[in-house]
Amino acid sequence: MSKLITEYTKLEDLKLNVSGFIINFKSFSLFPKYRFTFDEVKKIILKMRKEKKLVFLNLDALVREKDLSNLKCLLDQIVTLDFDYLIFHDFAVYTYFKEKGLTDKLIYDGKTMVTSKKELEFFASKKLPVFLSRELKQKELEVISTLDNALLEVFGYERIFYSKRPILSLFKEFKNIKESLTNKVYKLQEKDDIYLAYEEEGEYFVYLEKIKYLYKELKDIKNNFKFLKVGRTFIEDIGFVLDKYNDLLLNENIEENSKLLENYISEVGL
Amino acid sequence: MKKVELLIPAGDLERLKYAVMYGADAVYFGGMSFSLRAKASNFTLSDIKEGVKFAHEHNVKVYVTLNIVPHNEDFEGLKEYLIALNEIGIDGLIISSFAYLYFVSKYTKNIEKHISTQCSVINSEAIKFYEDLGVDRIVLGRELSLEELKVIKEKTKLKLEVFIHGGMCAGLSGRCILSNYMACRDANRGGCAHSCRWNYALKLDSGKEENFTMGSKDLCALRLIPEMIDIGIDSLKIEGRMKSVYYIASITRIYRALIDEYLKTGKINDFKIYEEELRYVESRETATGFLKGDVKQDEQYFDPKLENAPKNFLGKVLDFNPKTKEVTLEQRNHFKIGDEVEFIMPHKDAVSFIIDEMKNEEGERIEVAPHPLEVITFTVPFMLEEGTLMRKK
Ligand code: SF4
Repeated sequence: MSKLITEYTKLEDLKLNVSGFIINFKSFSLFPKYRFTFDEVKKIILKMRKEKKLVFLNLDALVREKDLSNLKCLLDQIVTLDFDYLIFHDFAVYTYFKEKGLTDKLIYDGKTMVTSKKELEFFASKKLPVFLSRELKQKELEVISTLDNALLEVFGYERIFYSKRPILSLFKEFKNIKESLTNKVYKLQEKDDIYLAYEEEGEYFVYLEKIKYLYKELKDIKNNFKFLKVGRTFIEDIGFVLDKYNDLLLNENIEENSKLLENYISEVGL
Repeated sequence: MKKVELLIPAGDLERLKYAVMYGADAVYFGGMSFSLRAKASNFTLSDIKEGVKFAHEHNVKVYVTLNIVPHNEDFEGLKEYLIALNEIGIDGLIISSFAYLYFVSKYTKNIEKHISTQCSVINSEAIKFYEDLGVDRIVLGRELSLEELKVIKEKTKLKLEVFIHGGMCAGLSGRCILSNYMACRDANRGGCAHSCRWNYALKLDSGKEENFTMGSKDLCALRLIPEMIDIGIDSLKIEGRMKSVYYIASITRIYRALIDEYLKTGKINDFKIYEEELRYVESRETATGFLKGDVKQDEQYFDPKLENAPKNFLGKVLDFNPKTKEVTLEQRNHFKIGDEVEFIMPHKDAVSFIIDEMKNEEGERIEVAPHPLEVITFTVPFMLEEGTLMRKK
């Protein structure tokens, strides 16, 4: 049976009904706002273990050569931690773990790059579980998820752009804008469509305005995925949503929950 | 000094030939499937065959892009395509997908495997992963400084290819799916609609709305080429499979001359000569991206009003009679009697000339050539080479 995971933001999260939490680091993690120092992560893990939660660490940034030594320092520390999985996107992380003989702890976050069953087969040959691209259609998911190394983010704001350019800060300078444009969600309007722009630590992202989710569609294929992730980017209170997904795993109230989720999403917009 | 490859895009067979004539060491293009730049007039297998023959006769290498991020249906016909490319004898494949890489290893021999910039490889440790997979070359991501390039080069045996000129993704390549949602076109399957360059309204906390765009200025690393050669970069790549024959010929000519000057003399006497030439073809403002360090405000492209397509390409010489010195030219932009024009050629300096008389296809004398693609004849007092183009002086 598939298991639910979500990002860790604060101590109270430990009461949430999920199998595990993803912890994000101050550097090399792309999760906004709730990112932690190594020492903080160490303490969080102790608390998670008391609650018998699986521990996922997340280093999903792409890493420039100039930042490699910092990444290595962090990885040297990370391997001393008690964790179940490390999620990565840059293959520098894989190289490091391979040298340590620890690749069985890795999960590749494919972001926009894993969109076919054959791609997933490649990672299966390396014994790597993989987060699939979120733009996949239901029919594609049905085919791809017949392999047993797929993970899927089933709920959350979908990121559609990732840049190493601090585009909002550069714009602020260009236009001589007084307010700070970082660490806050801004709306971008293009004709009738709205998108969300966000910059933190020199990296810039664009998200779809509406939360994207799969629910009813997962009814028959949910257990094909090793883990289902409920994403929390820009979402503070996730308890309600997790309850619904726990129901889904138990095949309970699917029709009713689906409607409730739809209402929830139309109300929670940023 | 180590020789460096000048790698030029070829949107079609004609542009391939111009790139070769004007001094490319290698050309790249996409086939009808499995390749990005869906709007470039991609090559059929028989075009590829002809292109490879022409390029190889001139000692120029040919790389074919296989750089989409494939979905399940994008494997149909792949095996047969690769077998055909193998028979044709292309030199390299530019790949973004591990599954495609596996197919290439299985169904081709003696074809180099290049990892596309779509994979956004930007450090030497990630390169090790690709090296273990039998890859020959990495097309590095565009988020690297010269200093970083130097360090990477010292740490890897794989060949490194770096973009030196042309349009740039403002986002990390392969990780942008703006166009998928904004234009219903899959950016990673050739459908990028340049949504990053569109105009947006950015809503500030103050309630004010600002006109906003995310696109970056185009890349121009002209002044940094000597350093790249010194670092030992193996291939200098120009972007622009959608660009015109004129652009391809001109840009190849400029960078060919610059690289040759540096390789021959160990220095560049006057960069301005090359920059002047670039002004004939550049329609957008350019910058050096990450090459000189982190991107600054003036490297970003917030003022699209400055975009201005140059209209100075006047025509393509279709034929030249060395005895009568009669030029047969296909018109591309308006010109008239009395205009001072310039001929650019693959191996000679540009020559200028004032049009004093000309005829249309019917042999009638004309004062003006206003129609695109009309064929004009006139004579000049000097020799022209094959592949000559005419531009405004
Ligand atoms: S929209 Fe811009 S950043 Fe995205 S793929 Fe196209 S050019 Fe690159």
